[in-house]
Amino acid sequence: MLKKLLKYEFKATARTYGGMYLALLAASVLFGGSVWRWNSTNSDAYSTLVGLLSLVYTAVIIGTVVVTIMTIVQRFYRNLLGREGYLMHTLPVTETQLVTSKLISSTVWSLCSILAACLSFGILAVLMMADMDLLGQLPLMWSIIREAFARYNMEFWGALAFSGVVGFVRMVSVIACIYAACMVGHQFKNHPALAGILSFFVMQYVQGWLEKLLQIGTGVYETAIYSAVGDVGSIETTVSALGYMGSAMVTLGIAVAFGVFWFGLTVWLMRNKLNLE
Amino acid sequence: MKELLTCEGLTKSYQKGTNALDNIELHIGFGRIVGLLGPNGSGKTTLIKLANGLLQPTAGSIRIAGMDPGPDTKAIVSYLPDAAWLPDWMRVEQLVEMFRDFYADFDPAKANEMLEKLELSPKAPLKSLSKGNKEKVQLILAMSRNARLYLLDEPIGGVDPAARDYILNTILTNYSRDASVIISTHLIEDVEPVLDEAVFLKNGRIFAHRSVDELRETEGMSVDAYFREVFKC
Repeated sequence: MLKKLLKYEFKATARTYGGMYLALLAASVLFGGSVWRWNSTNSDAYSTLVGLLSLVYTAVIIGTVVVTIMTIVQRFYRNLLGREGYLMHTLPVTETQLVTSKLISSTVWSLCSILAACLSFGILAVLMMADMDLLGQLPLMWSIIREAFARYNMEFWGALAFSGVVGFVRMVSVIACIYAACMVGHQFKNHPALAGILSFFVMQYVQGWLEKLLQIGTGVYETAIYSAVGDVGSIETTVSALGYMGSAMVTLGIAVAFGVFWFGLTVWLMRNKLNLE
Repeated sequence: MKELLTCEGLTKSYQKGTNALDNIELHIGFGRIVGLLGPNGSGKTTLIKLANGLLQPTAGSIRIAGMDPGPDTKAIVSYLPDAAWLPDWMRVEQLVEMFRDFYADFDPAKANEMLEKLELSPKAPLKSLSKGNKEKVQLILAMSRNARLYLLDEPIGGVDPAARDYILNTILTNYSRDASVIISTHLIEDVEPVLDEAVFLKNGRIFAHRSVDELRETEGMSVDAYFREVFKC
């Protein structure tokens, strides 16, 4: 049943996200293309166009972030707590399957949004440097990459990869927290949306406070990363001295624990406190 | 098992001190068509939502075929809400496919046959249909299941009289002897010919639960006339 739920979840959201990614890629091509033409012609007419398209591109990038977050909230709220909930909650599926399908699709789309943004930056960069001999520059780029790999030890690269894992788990945990906040808001008949938003911030504050209480707050975590990137000479020292991997492991553990808790709270509230009036 | 729907001390409060349903005792057997009748705000929709697990009881219990509302009961209950509830962006044929995917008892051939008879295009997006045609699609989907219990909340309220006859005929011919149909409606005159039993709700309580034949004989009037008598303003 989870597969079937996912099939319809992706069908329902594909048009929104697909359209948004197309707009993002189109904006990056237009903006990058205009910069390229401006570089080659130095025309004043192009400078106005570049200014205008830079605004459009910025708006589309911000829009991508906003639409991704709004769609995560709206799909959960409208599909499970709005009128469509009459259909979803009368399907022969468990609450765990319903929430899992939403969590998986939101996670996949969030990753796709990040990838689409990276791709648009890439397109922009390539178009802006279109006049350069990019193929000729490839050996130089490759040697820089090889040098970077040779300079840092495996501990650094391991830490960097691990920070990606921590970031991913935190993202999933935040999505689960959004769902839990929606369910808490649903318990308030008069102002469910306001109650949901306030609940989300309270939940995130409590999570952050508990992390700090355990002395592995985001401050330590980020200091390690910035030190690592900023001070190449003492990178290994920094990583080791701050016990980066150790603290990141605890951060990961807490993100997983909170993610599981928010997920469990969402399912419990849906099973025992659902009231579609 | 003798009962398909059992309510014991079922109570639902939306606000403290006001009970939408108050200590309901209701027992519905197999192979019955039951009218759930009462004025606005009497608790008909609340009772149907509780049976579907869309609301949680404040007190008491509701069981379907001996089970609490959950995935197992949802597999045997076909529900038609009184509001637009299907995703607007889907085409009719996609909805048929979705019901086939999720409900093992859904008969797509029956759904397509009914769509054709009511001249509804499977290719049409739901959002392009009129309110009445949307209601027809919803009813077709609900009645194309070979469910054990049909819970129909105002199934004929928004459709024209010609379609109403077709729908009532569909309800009559579609359900089997081991299934029951509960119809909540204000249009008593229309549904009366198909009813076996009538449950009258008044202010969240069961005012009467009687066999339709027995009611007509004892009271010397139709169910519709009895309803008007009991609930006259």
